[in-house]
Amino acid sequence: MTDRVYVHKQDRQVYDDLRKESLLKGMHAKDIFLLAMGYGFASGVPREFDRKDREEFFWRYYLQPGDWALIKSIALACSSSPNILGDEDAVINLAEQFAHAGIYLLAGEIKSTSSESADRAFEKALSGIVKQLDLPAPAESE
Amino acid sequence: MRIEKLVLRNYRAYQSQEIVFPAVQGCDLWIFVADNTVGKTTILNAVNWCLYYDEPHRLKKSEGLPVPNLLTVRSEPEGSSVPVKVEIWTRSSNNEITVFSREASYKVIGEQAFVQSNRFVVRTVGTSGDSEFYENQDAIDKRDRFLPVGLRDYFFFDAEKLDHYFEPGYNTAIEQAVLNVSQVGILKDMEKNLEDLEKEYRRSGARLSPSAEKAEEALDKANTDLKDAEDQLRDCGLQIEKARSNLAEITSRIQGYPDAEALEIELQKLKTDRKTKEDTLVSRERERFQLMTELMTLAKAWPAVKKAIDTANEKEAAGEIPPNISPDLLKQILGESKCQVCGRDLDAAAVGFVTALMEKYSLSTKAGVELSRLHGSLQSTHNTIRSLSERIRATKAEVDILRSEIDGITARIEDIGRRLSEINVEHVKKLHSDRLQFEQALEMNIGLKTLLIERISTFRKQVAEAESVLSSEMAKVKQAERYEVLKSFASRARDAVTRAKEQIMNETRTRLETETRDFFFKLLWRHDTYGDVSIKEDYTIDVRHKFGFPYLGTMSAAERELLALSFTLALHTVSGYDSPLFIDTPVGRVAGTQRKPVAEMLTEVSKDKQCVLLFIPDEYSSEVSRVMDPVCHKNIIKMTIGELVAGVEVVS
Repeated sequence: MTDRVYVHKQDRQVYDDLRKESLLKGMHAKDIFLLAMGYGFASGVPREFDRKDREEFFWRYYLQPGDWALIKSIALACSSSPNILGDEDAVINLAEQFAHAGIYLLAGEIKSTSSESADRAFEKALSGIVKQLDLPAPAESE
Repeated sequence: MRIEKLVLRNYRAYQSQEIVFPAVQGCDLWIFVADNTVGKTTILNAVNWCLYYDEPHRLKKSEGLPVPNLLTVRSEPEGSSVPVKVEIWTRSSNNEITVFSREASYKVIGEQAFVQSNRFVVRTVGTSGDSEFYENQDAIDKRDRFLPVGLRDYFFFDAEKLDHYFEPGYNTAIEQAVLNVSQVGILKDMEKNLEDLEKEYRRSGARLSPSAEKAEEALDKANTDLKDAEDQLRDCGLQIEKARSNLAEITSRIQGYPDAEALEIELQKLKTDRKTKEDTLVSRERERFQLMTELMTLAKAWPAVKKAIDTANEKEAAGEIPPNISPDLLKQILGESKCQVCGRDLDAAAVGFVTALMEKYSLSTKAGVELSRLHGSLQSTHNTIRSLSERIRATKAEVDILRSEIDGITARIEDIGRRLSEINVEHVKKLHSDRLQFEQALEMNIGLKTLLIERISTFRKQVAEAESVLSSEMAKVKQAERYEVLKSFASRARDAVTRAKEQIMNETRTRLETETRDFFFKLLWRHDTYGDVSIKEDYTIDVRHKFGFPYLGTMSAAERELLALSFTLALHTVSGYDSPLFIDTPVGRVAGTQRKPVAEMLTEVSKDKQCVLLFIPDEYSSEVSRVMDPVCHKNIIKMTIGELVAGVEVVS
């Protein structure tokens, strides 16, 4: 069992670029990873990648109980048996595949417009999805 | 009496110059136009030098330059003597000619010249041709009959004097002028002598008894202290008046100008505030984005979360989630056939129960534990989402407020920048700094005044007490009676002289008031504004608007000059001296359009009195020349020979 979380080698630059955007500026790698994972999960298609193509991204111990709950929920949702929860590597591996899929979707959404409109677009998208899922929604910018 | 001719020999810029003022019909108006430093004011100084042996209107930059003409000085060998001479030829109304003449000899050393001799003489030529010659004190007496030194400032002056006429303390100058005109100098001297005499008698009487002498010394000291304090109070009052006047003037000058210094301070503060708010905004935005990202992550994963909760609920309902027992512990219990908790050996029933417990749960224990934990964690996810949404909303509101505040500050900064760009910041800052100084001076002097009033009150009590003690001690000494009688006589005599002096001065003041008012209303061009002009007992001039309110502070520069000139002309009349009016830069302090009435006023004056006016070309502007050119006698002064010699050229 490894104590790291990995990303695809090619994704590293995308993460680095995203961390320069105003919306995600200065944000921890773990948080962007989880967001990418969310985008990937929402797309419904994880992207596998070979071990030789992976690159260490952050330590697993950075993941908080709430983060684990999300990662495991996704693993559970994608598995026929809850037994997957007993296999931490499998759980993390699935999260890594979704993040690999989601990081490009996230980058596409954030980098397609200017920083200010990207912030607005993100805010709007958030509001939309929250409403769609019938969750308590934050106010949207005018 | 008018000046007919000025003769200048080697006097400063004039190597050899005669300026004639032939008798004229109509306006006796003489104009001299010259650039600065060409020799215009030198003519005024030459008159003063001849009559009074001083040069009150010299520029600071010309100080140190020798009186003899520089070209002459340079052409003379070292150690030689250069004569300088100024003559003033005058003619009285009864055609008597008086020539005032001063001749001085200067020894040349390098570019300097040191006076060796100086002689002032007066020669008169009567209508019958008989001439008389005066020198020494006789010459001075003759000059004083033409114009005494105490009054010359009202006849030969720079118009700047008119502009500063009503500055704080001007009443002291007017009082002095009234004193001079009243010719009560002898009474003033008597007053002083009688005061000294009174003091001397008092002292002589006191010397007869040691205790009386001591009391007299105490009285003398108390009187000295009282006089010092009263002088200080007078000075303090003058300083207060000056500070108030300066404050009023500076306030009027900075009206309309923003306080540049205060604006700059505000600007710096606004910039600091904006920076702080911008930093807070960035921090709040970061926080908001972080919260949005967290919420987005949760929202994207929400179907999985929901499914996990459902799965956990199903498994729990089906009893598939094992109790939170360590599988290793169960294995150990079965392996050792002994309860690891209570230490009891397992019987068959117990082994059956533990085996059934392990078999009951199809899920791996680890997965079951994870699912159980996950279920617990996910129960609160909905609340987390709600909390995130609320926090995003709150930070958004905070961000909006910050943005609005920053916009407001930016607008104010731009406004200040615009206002500062429209003004001469340094100039306005200087004005504000000056105003602050005057405010501080005013405050300080007001405090000092209160203190001095208290001290004067104390000193008066001390004087009264000392007088009482002295009187009591003197009463004990028989021989002192004689001195007491003499002292009392001197005191009464002094009172009588003082009353006589004040009465004469009051009469002069009243006459001056009447004459000033007459001149003012005669020369005034805005008859519908003014109500009255009077000279108060404290020699302040009171000008009233026709509706009765005080108007001196509201008058324009030209009107103030008119009032000052009216007072000057009144002095001419009351004093009985009919010397010419000699004014340097007569409209120097008067702005463009207001020059016309001043020019008209001086032209009007020249109908009755010889007026010699010295202008720089800018001053002799179209407003002035249109009025004066048709009636005046115009001269241009030009510099020649390496800018060392001035020459007067008659234009018309």
